[in-house]
Amino acid sequence: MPANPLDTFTNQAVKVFGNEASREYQRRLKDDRTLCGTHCGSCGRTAFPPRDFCPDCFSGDCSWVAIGDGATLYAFTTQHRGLRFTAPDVIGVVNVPDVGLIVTPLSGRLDELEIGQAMKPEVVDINEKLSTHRFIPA
Amino acid sequence: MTTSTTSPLLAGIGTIPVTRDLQMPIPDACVHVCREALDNAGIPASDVDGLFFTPPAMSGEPWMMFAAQMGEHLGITTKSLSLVENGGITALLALRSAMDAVALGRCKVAVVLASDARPLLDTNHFEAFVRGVAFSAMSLYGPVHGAMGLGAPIPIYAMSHQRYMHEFGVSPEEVALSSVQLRSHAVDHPLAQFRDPITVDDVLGSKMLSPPIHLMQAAGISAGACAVVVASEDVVKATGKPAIACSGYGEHHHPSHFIPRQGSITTFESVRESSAQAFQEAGRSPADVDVAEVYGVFGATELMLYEDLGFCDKGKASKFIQDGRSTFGGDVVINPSGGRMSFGHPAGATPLYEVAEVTRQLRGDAPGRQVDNASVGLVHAEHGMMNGSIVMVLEPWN
Ligand SMILES: [Zn+2]
Repeated sequence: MPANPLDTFTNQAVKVFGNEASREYQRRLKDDRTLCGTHCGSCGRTAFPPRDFCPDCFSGDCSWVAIGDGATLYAFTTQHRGLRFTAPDVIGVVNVPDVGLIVTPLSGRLDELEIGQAMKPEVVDINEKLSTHRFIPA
Repeated sequence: MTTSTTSPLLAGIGTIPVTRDLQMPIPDACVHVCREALDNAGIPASDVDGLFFTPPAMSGEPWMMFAAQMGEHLGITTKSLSLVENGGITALLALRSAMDAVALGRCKVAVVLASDARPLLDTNHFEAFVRGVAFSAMSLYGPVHGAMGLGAPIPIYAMSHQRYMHEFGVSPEEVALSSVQLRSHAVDHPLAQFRDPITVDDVLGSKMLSPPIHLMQAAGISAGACAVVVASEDVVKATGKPAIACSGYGEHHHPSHFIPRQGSITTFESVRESSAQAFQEAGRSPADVDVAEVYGVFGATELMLYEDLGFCDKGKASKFIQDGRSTFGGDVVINPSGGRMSFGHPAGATPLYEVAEVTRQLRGDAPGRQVDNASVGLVHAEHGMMNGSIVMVLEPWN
Protein backbone atom coordinates (compact mmCIF):
# COMPACT_ATOMS: atom_id res chain seq x y z
CA MET A 1 0.00 0.00 0.00
CA PRO A 2 1.44 3.42 -0.91
CA ALA A 3 2.27 5.66 2.03
CA ASN A 4 -0.32 8.29 2.94
CA PRO A 5 1.18 11.46 1.42
CA LEU A 6 0.24 13.21 4.65
CA ASP A 7 2.78 11.03 6.52
CA THR A 8 5.57 12.13 4.23
CA PHE A 9 4.62 15.77 4.29
CA THR A 10 3.95 15.77 8.04
CA ASN A 11 7.42 14.43 8.74
CA GLN A 12 8.96 17.00 6.39
CA ALA A 13 6.89 19.84 7.77
CA VAL A 14 7.66 19.00 11.39
CA LYS A 15 11.35 19.43 10.56
CA VAL A 16 10.89 22.74 8.78
CA PHE A 17 7.95 24.39 10.52
CA GLY A 18 6.36 23.85 13.89
CA ASN A 19 8.01 25.17 17.03
CA GLU A 20 10.16 23.69 19.76
CA ALA A 21 7.25 23.37 22.18
CA SER A 22 5.16 21.42 19.69
CA ARG A 23 8.10 19.07 19.05
CA GLU A 24 8.48 18.48 22.80
CA TYR A 25 4.70 17.95 22.96
CA GLN A 26 5.05 15.21 20.35
CA ARG A 27 7.96 13.59 22.23
CA ARG A 28 5.97 13.51 25.50
CA LEU A 29 3.00 12.03 23.69
CA LYS A 30 5.05 9.39 21.94
CA ASP A 31 7.62 8.45 24.60
CA ASP A 32 5.84 9.33 27.85
CA ARG A 33 2.32 8.47 26.59
CA THR A 34 1.06 11.72 28.16
CA LEU A 35 -1.06 14.53 26.73
CA CYS A 36 0.50 17.78 27.90
CA GLY A 37 -0.10 21.50 27.96
CA THR A 38 2.09 24.22 29.45
CA HIS A 39 1.28 25.79 32.81
CA CYS A 40 2.18 29.41 33.52
CA GLY A 41 3.84 30.02 36.87
CA SER A 42 2.99 33.70 36.66
CA CYS A 43 -0.75 33.84 35.93
CA GLY A 44 -1.59 30.21 36.62
CA ARG A 45 -3.27 29.50 33.29
CA THR A 46 -2.63 26.43 31.14
CA ALA A 47 -2.04 26.77 27.39
CA PHE A 48 -2.92 24.27 24.70
CA PRO A 49 -1.41 23.86 22.16
CA PRO A 50 1.64 24.15 24.45
CA ARG A 51 4.05 27.08 24.15
CA ASP A 52 7.37 28.16 25.66
CA PHE A 53 5.72 31.41 26.73
CA CYS A 54 2.31 32.21 28.17
CA PRO A 55 -0.20 33.53 25.59
CA ASP A 56 -2.28 34.99 28.42
CA CYS A 57 0.37 37.09 30.22
CA PHE A 58 3.52 36.72 28.04
CA SER A 59 5.57 35.31 30.92
CA GLY A 60 8.32 32.83 30.01
CA ASP A 61 7.82 30.94 33.29
CA CYS A 62 6.10 27.88 31.79
CA SER A 63 6.29 24.22 32.75
CA TRP A 64 4.88 21.04 31.26
CA VAL A 65 1.74 19.62 32.84
CA ALA A 66 -0.41 16.60 32.02
CA ILE A 67 -3.94 17.60 30.95
CA GLY A 68 -7.21 15.84 30.24
CA ASP A 69 -8.52 14.86 33.67
CA GLY A 70 -12.17 15.78 34.11
CA ALA A 71 -12.75 16.44 30.41
CA THR A 72 -16.32 16.59 29.14
CA LEU A 73 -17.67 16.31 25.60
CA TYR A 74 -18.58 19.76 24.26
CA ALA A 75 -19.51 18.98 20.62
CA PHE A 76 -19.01 16.20 18.08
CA THR A 77 -19.54 15.27 14.44
CA THR A 78 -17.99 13.13 11.72
CA GLN A 79 -15.30 14.05 9.23
CA HIS A 80 -15.40 12.36 5.83
CA ARG A 81 -12.81 14.16 3.81
CA GLY A 82 -9.82 14.90 5.99
CA LEU A 83 -6.46 13.87 4.64
CA ARG A 84 -6.23 10.92 7.02
CA PHE A 85 -9.90 10.06 7.00
CA THR A 86 -11.24 7.76 4.32
CA ALA A 87 -14.45 6.79 6.12
CA PRO A 88 -16.61 8.89 8.39
CA ASP A 89 -14.58 9.24 11.57
CA VAL A 90 -15.85 10.81 14.75
CA ILE A 91 -14.19 14.03 15.85
CA GLY A 92 -15.16 16.45 18.56
CA VAL A 93 -14.36 19.26 20.93
CA VAL A 94 -13.74 18.46 24.59
CA ASN A 95 -13.81 20.95 27.44
CA VAL A 96 -10.76 20.33 29.63
CA PRO A 97 -10.66 21.91 33.12
CA ASP A 98 -8.05 24.72 33.43
CA VAL A 99 -7.39 24.56 29.68
CA GLY A 100 -10.59 25.08 27.69
CA LEU A 101 -11.76 23.71 24.36
CA ILE A 102 -9.60 21.18 22.49
CA VAL A 103 -10.32 19.74 19.04
CA THR A 104 -9.74 16.01 19.02
CA PRO A 105 -10.51 12.74 17.30
CA LEU A 106 -12.92 10.67 19.38
CA SER A 107 -13.38 6.98 19.90
CA GLY A 108 -17.00 5.93 19.94
CA ARG A 109 -20.10 5.78 17.76
CA LEU A 110 -21.71 9.08 16.83
CA ASP A 111 -25.16 7.90 17.94
CA GLU A 112 -23.87 6.85 21.36
CA LEU A 113 -22.17 10.13 22.26
CA GLU A 114 -23.81 12.88 24.29
CA ILE A 115 -22.89 16.50 24.97
CA GLY A 116 -21.60 16.77 28.54
CA GLN A 117 -20.45 13.17 29.03
CA ALA A 118 -17.14 12.45 30.78
CA MET A 119 -14.13 11.82 28.51
CA LYS A 120 -10.47 10.90 29.00
CA PRO A 121 -7.41 11.17 26.74
CA GLU A 122 -5.44 8.36 25.17
CA VAL A 123 -2.45 8.22 22.84
CA VAL A 124 -2.69 6.72 19.37
CA ASP A 125 0.38 5.87 17.28
CA ILE A 126 -0.14 6.90 13.67
CA ASN A 127 3.17 5.45 12.49
CA GLU A 128 6.62 4.91 14.00
CA LYS A 129 7.36 8.63 13.90
CA LEU A 130 4.03 10.23 14.77
CA SER A 131 1.50 9.91 17.55
CA THR A 132 -1.65 11.83 18.27
CA HIS A 133 -4.17 12.25 21.06
CA ARG A 134 -7.72 10.97 21.06
CA PHE A 135 -10.46 11.20 23.67
CA ILE A 136 -12.63 8.25 24.67
CA PRO A 137 -15.64 7.98 26.99
CA ALA A 138 -14.33 7.84 30.58
CA MET B 1 3.98 64.24 4.99
CA THR B 2 0.54 63.20 3.83
CA THR B 3 -2.56 64.05 5.80
CA SER B 4 -6.06 62.70 5.46
CA THR B 5 -8.20 65.18 3.58
CA THR B 6 -10.50 62.97 1.56
CA SER B 7 -12.98 60.17 2.07
CA PRO B 8 -12.16 57.16 -0.05
CA LEU B 9 -15.28 56.51 -2.16
CA LEU B 10 -16.48 53.36 -3.89
CA ALA B 11 -16.84 54.65 -7.44
CA GLY B 12 -17.33 51.62 -9.67
CA ILE B 13 -17.81 47.87 -9.69
CA GLY B 14 -17.26 45.02 -12.12
CA THR B 15 -18.48 41.42 -11.77
CA ILE B 16 -18.76 38.15 -13.64
CA PRO B 17 -21.34 35.46 -12.80
CA VAL B 18 -20.35 32.99 -10.08
CA THR B 19 -19.91 29.49 -11.53
CA ARG B 20 -18.46 26.17 -10.40
CA ASP B 21 -15.40 26.60 -12.61
CA LEU B 22 -14.05 29.90 -13.87
CA GLN B 23 -15.33 30.52 -17.41
CA MET B 24 -12.06 32.13 -18.49
CA PRO B 25 -8.44 32.12 -17.32
CA ILE B 26 -7.82 34.07 -14.09
CA PRO B 27 -5.89 36.96 -15.73
CA ASP B 28 -8.67 37.38 -18.32
CA ALA B 29 -11.28 37.42 -15.55
CA CYS B 30 -9.29 40.11 -13.69
CA VAL B 31 -8.93 42.25 -16.81
CA HIS B 32 -12.63 41.84 -17.63
CA VAL B 33 -13.90 42.98 -14.22
CA CYS B 34 -11.25 45.73 -14.00
CA ARG B 35 -12.36 47.26 -17.33
CA GLU B 36 -16.04 46.95 -16.38
CA ALA B 37 -15.43 48.61 -12.97
CA LEU B 38 -13.51 51.55 -14.48
CA ASP B 39 -16.20 51.97 -17.15
CA ASN B 40 -18.83 51.86 -14.40
CA ALA B 41 -16.93 54.55 -12.47
CA GLY B 42 -16.39 56.71 -15.54
CA ILE B 43 -12.66 56.83 -14.80
CA PRO B 44 -10.00 56.08 -17.46
CA ALA B 45 -7.37 53.42 -16.76
CA SER B 46 -4.72 56.10 -17.17
CA ASP B 47 -5.95 57.69 -13.91
CA VAL B 48 -5.44 54.52 -11.88
CA ASP B 49 -2.46 54.78 -9.51
CA GLY B 50 -3.08 51.85 -7.17
CA LEU B 51 -3.76 48.12 -7.67
CA PHE B 52 -4.70 45.80 -4.79
CA PHE B 53 -5.07 42.08 -5.47
CA THR B 54 -6.19 38.98 -3.62
CA PRO B 55 -4.29 35.75 -4.31
CA PRO B 56 -5.51 34.09 -7.51
CA ALA B 57 -7.12 30.72 -6.80
CA MET B 58 -6.64 31.24 -3.06
CA SER B 59 -7.43 27.59 -2.39
CA GLY B 60 -5.40 26.33 -5.34
CA GLU B 61 -1.88 26.69 -6.63
CA PRO B 62 0.49 29.35 -5.31
CA TRP B 63 1.31 32.03 -7.87
CA MET B 64 4.38 34.05 -6.99
CA MET B 65 4.50 37.76 -7.86
CA PHE B 66 0.94 37.74 -9.18
CA ALA B 67 0.39 41.46 -8.45
CA ALA B 68 3.58 42.46 -10.29
CA GLN B 69 2.70 40.29 -13.27
CA MET B 70 -0.83 41.69 -13.43
CA GLY B 71 0.50 45.25 -13.12
CA GLU B 72 2.56 44.57 -16.23
CA HIS B 73 -0.29 42.79 -18.03
CA LEU B 74 -2.72 45.67 -17.36
CA GLY B 75 -0.08 48.22 -18.34
CA ILE B 76 -0.90 50.42 -15.36
CA THR B 77 1.72 52.58 -13.59
CA THR B 78 1.04 52.70 -9.84
CA LYS B 79 2.14 54.25 -6.57
CA SER B 80 0.88 51.20 -4.69
CA LEU B 81 0.82 47.61 -5.92
CA SER B 82 0.17 44.73 -3.52
CA LEU B 83 -1.47 41.43 -2.74
CA VAL B 84 -3.30 40.84 0.53
CA GLU B 85 -4.34 37.58 2.21
CA ASN B 86 -6.05 36.62 5.45
CA GLY B 87 -8.56 33.83 4.81
CA GLY B 88 -12.18 34.83 4.33
CA ILE B 89 -11.68 38.55 4.97
CA THR B 90 -9.00 38.77 2.27
CA ALA B 91 -10.98 40.85 -0.23
CA LEU B 92 -12.25 43.29 2.41
CA LEU B 93 -8.67 43.71 3.67
CA ALA B 94 -7.57 44.47 0.10
CA LEU B 95 -10.40 46.99 -0.12
CA ARG B 96 -9.38 48.52 3.21
CA SER B 97 -5.79 48.79 1.98
CA ALA B 98 -7.00 50.65 -1.10
CA MET B 99 -9.23 52.92 0.99
CA ASP B 100 -6.36 53.66 3.39
CA ALA B 101 -4.09 54.55 0.44
CA VAL B 102 -6.67 56.97 -0.96
CA ALA B 103 -7.50 58.44 2.47
CA LEU B 104 -3.80 59.10 3.09
CA GLY B 105 -3.43 60.75 -0.28
CA ARG B 106 -0.97 58.13 -1.52
CA CYS B 107 -3.34 57.17 -4.36
CA LYS B 108 -6.18 58.94 -6.16
CA VAL B 109 -7.72 55.94 -7.89
CA ALA B 110 -7.11 52.43 -6.57
CA VAL B 111 -8.61 49.31 -8.11
CA VAL B 112 -9.22 46.25 -5.93
CA LEU B 113 -9.18 43.01 -7.92
CA ALA B 114 -10.34 39.76 -6.34
CA SER B 115 -10.68 36.37 -7.99
CA ASP B 116 -10.97 32.76 -6.90
CA ALA B 117 -11.03 29.35 -8.52
CA ARG B 118 -10.88 26.00 -6.79
CA PRO B 119 -8.13 23.47 -7.48
CA LEU B 120 -9.06 20.55 -9.68
CA LEU B 121 -8.23 17.47 -7.65
CA ASP B 122 -6.80 15.48 -10.52
CA THR B 123 -3.86 13.12 -10.00
CA ASN B 124 -1.38 15.54 -11.57
CA HIS B 125 -1.37 18.00 -8.76
CA PHE B 126 -3.16 16.22 -5.94
CA GLU B 127 0.16 15.61 -4.22
CA ALA B 128 1.11 19.26 -4.47
CA PHE B 129 -2.29 20.18 -3.07
CA VAL B 130 -1.90 17.77 -0.14
CA ARG B 131 1.60 19.07 0.51
CA GLY B 132 0.29 22.64 0.60
CA VAL B 133 -2.50 21.73 3.00
CA ALA B 134 -0.20 19.58 5.14
CA PHE B 135 2.46 22.28 5.32
CA SER B 136 0.02 25.00 6.24
CA ALA B 137 -1.69 22.76 8.82
CA MET B 138 1.74 21.84 10.17
CA SER B 139 3.18 25.28 10.18
CA LEU B 140 2.68 26.21 13.81
CA TYR B 141 1.01 23.40 15.73
CA GLY B 142 1.76 20.61 13.30
CA PRO B 143 2.71 17.97 15.81
CA VAL B 144 -0.43 18.85 17.76
CA HIS B 145 -3.10 19.10 15.07
CA GLY B 146 -1.68 18.33 11.68
CA ALA B 147 -0.86 14.68 12.19
CA MET B 148 -4.56 13.98 12.59
CA GLY B 149 -5.47 15.55 9.28
CA LEU B 150 -7.86 17.83 11.12
CA GLY B 151 -8.54 21.25 9.74
CA ALA B 152 -11.32 20.92 7.16
CA PRO B 153 -13.84 23.65 7.96
CA ILE B 154 -17.08 21.68 7.53
CA PRO B 155 -16.77 19.51 10.69
CA ILE B 156 -15.71 22.54 12.72
CA TYR B 157 -18.78 24.49 11.61
CA ALA B 158 -20.90 21.34 12.15
CA MET B 159 -20.00 21.41 15.83
CA SER B 160 -20.95 25.08 16.04
CA HIS B 161 -24.30 24.17 14.42
CA GLN B 162 -24.79 21.32 16.94
CA ARG B 163 -24.03 23.62 19.88
CA TYR B 164 -26.37 26.31 18.47
CA MET B 165 -29.31 23.86 18.45
CA HIS B 166 -28.28 22.53 21.89
CA GLU B 167 -27.85 25.90 23.60
CA PHE B 168 -30.85 27.72 22.13
CA GLY B 169 -33.32 24.87 21.57
CA VAL B 170 -33.45 25.45 17.79
CA SER B 171 -34.75 22.59 15.61
CA PRO B 172 -33.17 21.25 12.40
CA GLU B 173 -36.21 22.55 10.47
CA GLU B 174 -35.68 26.05 11.88
CA VAL B 175 -32.01 26.06 10.89
CA ALA B 176 -32.97 24.85 7.40
CA LEU B 177 -35.07 28.00 6.90
CA SER B 178 -31.92 30.03 6.28
CA SER B 179 -31.07 27.98 3.18
CA VAL B 180 -34.64 28.28 1.85
CA GLN B 181 -34.75 32.03 2.44
CA LEU B 182 -31.44 32.65 0.70
CA ARG B 183 -32.39 30.48 -2.28
CA SER B 184 -35.56 32.54 -2.71
CA HIS B 185 -33.32 35.61 -3.10
CA ALA B 186 -30.97 33.92 -5.59
CA VAL B 187 -33.73 32.71 -7.90
CA ASP B 188 -33.83 35.98 -9.86
CA HIS B 189 -30.22 37.12 -9.40
CA PRO B 190 -28.35 37.19 -12.71
CA LEU B 191 -24.95 36.44 -11.12
CA ALA B 192 -26.01 33.69 -8.69
CA GLN B 193 -24.76 30.12 -8.99
CA PHE B 194 -27.68 28.16 -7.42
CA ARG B 195 -31.12 29.36 -8.51
CA ASP B 196 -33.63 26.47 -8.35
CA PRO B 197 -36.19 27.05 -5.57
CA ILE B 198 -35.86 24.69 -2.58
CA THR B 199 -37.94 23.73 0.49
CA VAL B 200 -37.08 22.77 4.07
CA ASP B 201 -37.68 19.12 3.08
CA ASP B 202 -35.17 19.48 0.23
CA VAL B 203 -32.58 20.90 2.63
CA LEU B 204 -33.00 18.21 5.28
CA GLY B 205 -33.25 15.52 2.58
CA SER B 206 -29.99 16.56 0.94
CA LYS B 207 -26.84 14.54 1.57
CA MET B 208 -25.40 14.71 5.09
CA LEU B 209 -21.87 16.16 5.04
CA SER B 210 -20.82 16.39 8.69
CA PRO B 211 -23.82 15.99 11.01
CA PRO B 212 -25.91 18.09 11.42
CA ILE B 213 -24.82 19.95 8.24
CA HIS B 214 -26.57 18.85 5.04
CA LEU B 215 -25.29 19.64 1.54
CA MET B 216 -27.81 22.46 1.07
CA GLN B 217 -26.57 24.05 4.30
CA ALA B 218 -23.04 24.56 2.97
CA ALA B 219 -21.64 26.94 0.39
CA GLY B 220 -20.72 25.07 -2.78
CA ILE B 221 -17.58 24.98 -4.88
CA SER B 222 -17.41 28.29 -6.72
CA ALA B 223 -15.27 30.50 -8.91
CA GLY B 224 -15.60 34.18 -9.76
CA ALA B 225 -13.96 37.58 -10.01
CA CYS B 226 -14.96 41.06 -8.90
CA ALA B 227 -13.42 44.54 -9.00
CA VAL B 228 -14.11 47.71 -7.02
CA VAL B 229 -12.74 51.14 -7.89
CA VAL B 230 -11.86 53.33 -4.89
CA ALA B 231 -11.38 57.03 -5.72
CA SER B 232 -10.87 60.32 -3.92
CA GLU B 233 -13.69 62.86 -3.61
CA ASP B 234 -12.26 65.22 -6.23
CA VAL B 235 -11.94 62.42 -8.78
CA VAL B 236 -15.52 61.29 -8.16
CA LYS B 237 -16.82 64.88 -8.35
CA ALA B 238 -15.28 65.24 -11.79
CA THR B 239 -17.06 62.11 -13.04
CA GLY B 240 -20.47 63.26 -11.85
CA LYS B 241 -21.34 59.61 -11.11
CA PRO B 242 -22.99 58.30 -7.91
CA ALA B 243 -20.49 56.95 -5.38
CA ILE B 244 -20.71 55.14 -2.07
CA ALA B 245 -18.95 56.13 1.16
CA CYS B 246 -17.91 53.86 4.01
CA SER B 247 -19.47 55.74 6.93
CA GLY B 248 -18.36 53.19 9.52
CA TYR B 249 -15.62 50.57 9.70
CA GLY B 250 -15.01 47.90 12.32
CA GLU B 251 -12.42 45.14 12.55
CA HIS B 252 -11.72 42.70 15.38
CA HIS B 253 -9.63 39.55 15.68
CA HIS B 254 -9.96 37.14 18.60
CA PRO B 255 -6.66 35.35 19.33
CA SER B 256 -7.89 31.99 18.02
CA HIS B 257 -8.14 30.11 14.73
CA PHE B 258 -11.32 27.99 14.30
CA ILE B 259 -12.08 26.59 17.80
CA PRO B 260 -11.21 29.18 20.48
CA ARG B 261 -9.56 27.77 23.59
CA GLN B 262 -11.65 30.11 25.70
CA GLY B 263 -14.94 31.41 24.38
CA SER B 264 -18.10 30.42 22.59
CA ILE B 265 -18.69 28.70 19.25
CA THR B 266 -22.27 30.01 18.98
CA THR B 267 -21.69 33.72 19.54
CA PHE B 268 -18.66 35.44 18.13
CA GLU B 269 -16.77 38.26 19.83
CA SER B 270 -15.18 39.38 16.57
CA VAL B 271 -18.56 39.89 14.88
CA ARG B 272 -20.10 41.67 17.85
CA GLU B 273 -17.09 43.94 18.33
CA SER B 274 -16.55 44.78 14.65
CA SER B 275 -20.21 45.60 14.09
CA ALA B 276 -20.37 47.72 17.26
CA GLN B 277 -17.30 49.68 16.07
CA ALA B 278 -18.71 50.17 12.59
CA PHE B 279 -22.15 51.29 13.84
CA GLN B 280 -20.58 53.68 16.34
CA GLU B 281 -18.34 55.27 13.72
CA ALA B 282 -21.28 55.62 11.32
CA GLY B 283 -23.63 56.94 14.02
CA ARG B 284 -26.04 54.19 12.99
CA SER B 285 -27.68 51.18 14.60
CA PRO B 286 -28.72 47.80 13.18
CA ALA B 287 -32.28 49.12 12.90
CA ASP B 288 -31.08 51.75 10.38
CA VAL B 289 -29.76 49.16 7.93
CA ASP B 290 -31.86 48.61 4.80
CA VAL B 291 -29.71 46.04 3.03
CA ALA B 292 -26.89 43.78 4.24
CA GLU B 293 -24.58 41.22 2.72
CA VAL B 294 -23.16 38.87 5.33
CA TYR B 295 -20.66 36.02 5.18
CA GLY B 296 -22.79 33.07 6.26
CA VAL B 297 -21.07 30.09 4.69
CA PHE B 298 -23.18 27.49 6.55
CA GLY B 299 -26.87 27.36 7.54
CA ALA B 300 -26.58 27.86 11.28
CA THR B 301 -23.73 30.35 10.82
CA GLU B 302 -26.08 32.54 8.77
CA LEU B 303 -28.47 32.63 11.75
CA MET B 304 -25.77 33.34 14.34
CA LEU B 305 -24.52 36.24 12.23
CA TYR B 306 -27.94 37.94 12.13
CA GLU B 307 -27.87 37.77 15.93
CA ASP B 308 -24.26 38.85 16.50
CA LEU B 309 -24.57 41.74 14.00
CA GLY B 310 -27.48 42.98 16.11
CA PHE B 311 -30.42 42.43 13.75
CA CYS B 312 -32.24 40.18 16.25
CA ASP B 313 -31.88 38.56 19.68
CA LYS B 314 -29.65 35.54 20.35
CA GLY B 315 -31.31 32.28 19.32
CA LYS B 316 -34.11 34.13 17.50
CA ALA B 317 -32.79 34.44 13.93
CA SER B 318 -34.90 31.61 12.59
CA LYS B 319 -38.04 33.30 13.95
CA PHE B 320 -36.75 36.57 12.42
CA ILE B 321 -36.63 34.85 9.02
CA GLN B 322 -39.96 33.07 9.52
CA ASP B 323 -41.64 36.39 10.30
CA GLY B 324 -40.39 37.84 7.03
CA ARG B 325 -38.19 40.41 8.74
CA SER B 326 -34.96 39.58 6.84
CA THR B 327 -36.39 39.74 3.33
CA PHE B 328 -38.11 42.18 0.95
CA GLY B 329 -40.75 44.14 2.84
CA GLY B 330 -39.16 43.32 6.21
CA ASP B 331 -36.86 45.18 8.63
CA VAL B 332 -33.73 44.64 6.56
CA VAL B 333 -33.04 42.64 3.41
CA ILE B 334 -30.18 40.33 4.32
CA ASN B 335 -28.27 38.78 1.45
CA PRO B 336 -30.43 39.86 -1.51
CA SER B 337 -27.75 38.18 -3.65
CA GLY B 338 -28.71 34.77 -2.24
CA GLY B 339 -25.86 34.77 0.25
CA ARG B 340 -22.89 32.45 0.26
CA MET B 341 -25.03 29.30 0.15
CA SER B 342 -26.98 30.24 -3.01
CA PHE B 343 -25.16 33.15 -4.66
CA GLY B 344 -22.01 31.01 -4.58
CA HIS B 345 -18.81 31.42 -2.60
CA PRO B 346 -15.55 32.07 -4.46
CA ALA B 347 -13.97 32.80 -1.07
CA GLY B 348 -11.16 35.07 -2.23
CA ALA B 349 -13.66 37.27 -4.08
CA THR B 350 -16.79 36.84 -1.94
CA PRO B 351 -16.48 40.00 0.17
CA LEU B 352 -16.07 42.16 -2.95
CA TYR B 353 -19.19 40.58 -4.46
CA GLU B 354 -20.96 41.58 -1.24
CA VAL B 355 -19.72 45.16 -1.69
CA ALA B 356 -20.86 45.06 -5.33
CA GLU B 357 -24.38 43.95 -4.37
CA VAL B 358 -24.78 46.58 -1.63
CA THR B 359 -23.34 49.26 -3.93
CA ARG B 360 -25.84 48.38 -6.68
CA GLN B 361 -28.68 48.40 -4.13
CA LEU B 362 -27.66 51.81 -2.73
CA ARG B 363 -27.41 53.22 -6.25
CA GLY B 364 -30.89 51.91 -7.11
CA ASP B 365 -29.29 49.73 -9.74
CA ALA B 366 -30.55 46.25 -8.78
CA PRO B 367 -33.40 45.55 -11.22
CA GLY B 368 -35.67 42.67 -10.23
CA ARG B 369 -34.35 42.62 -6.66
CA GLN B 370 -34.18 46.30 -5.71
CA VAL B 371 -34.60 47.01 -2.00
CA ASP B 372 -37.00 49.96 -1.73
CA ASN B 373 -35.37 53.25 -0.68
CA ALA B 374 -32.11 51.55 0.25
CA SER B 375 -29.96 54.20 1.92
CA VAL B 376 -27.92 52.37 4.56
CA GLY B 377 -26.04 49.18 3.70
CA LEU B 378 -23.81 46.77 5.61
CA VAL B 379 -21.13 44.36 4.47
CA HIS B 380 -19.56 41.67 6.66
CA ALA B 381 -16.80 39.11 6.19
CA GLU B 382 -14.91 36.79 8.54
CA HIS B 383 -11.98 34.40 8.69
CA GLY B 384 -11.48 31.09 10.49
CA MET B 385 -14.81 30.38 12.16
CA MET B 386 -15.66 34.03 12.88
CA ASN B 387 -12.35 34.35 14.75
CA GLY B 388 -11.83 37.63 12.91
CA SER B 389 -14.40 39.90 11.32
CA ILE B 390 -14.74 43.11 9.33
CA VAL B 391 -17.95 45.14 9.11
CA MET B 392 -18.46 48.15 6.85
CA VAL B 393 -21.47 50.47 6.91
CA LEU B 394 -21.97 51.87 3.39
CA GLU B 395 -24.06 54.88 2.39
CA PRO B 396 -24.55 56.96 -0.77
CA TRP B 397 -22.10 59.88 -0.90
CA ASN B 398 -23.70 63.34 -1.07
ZN1 LIG C 1 0.54 33.56 32.18
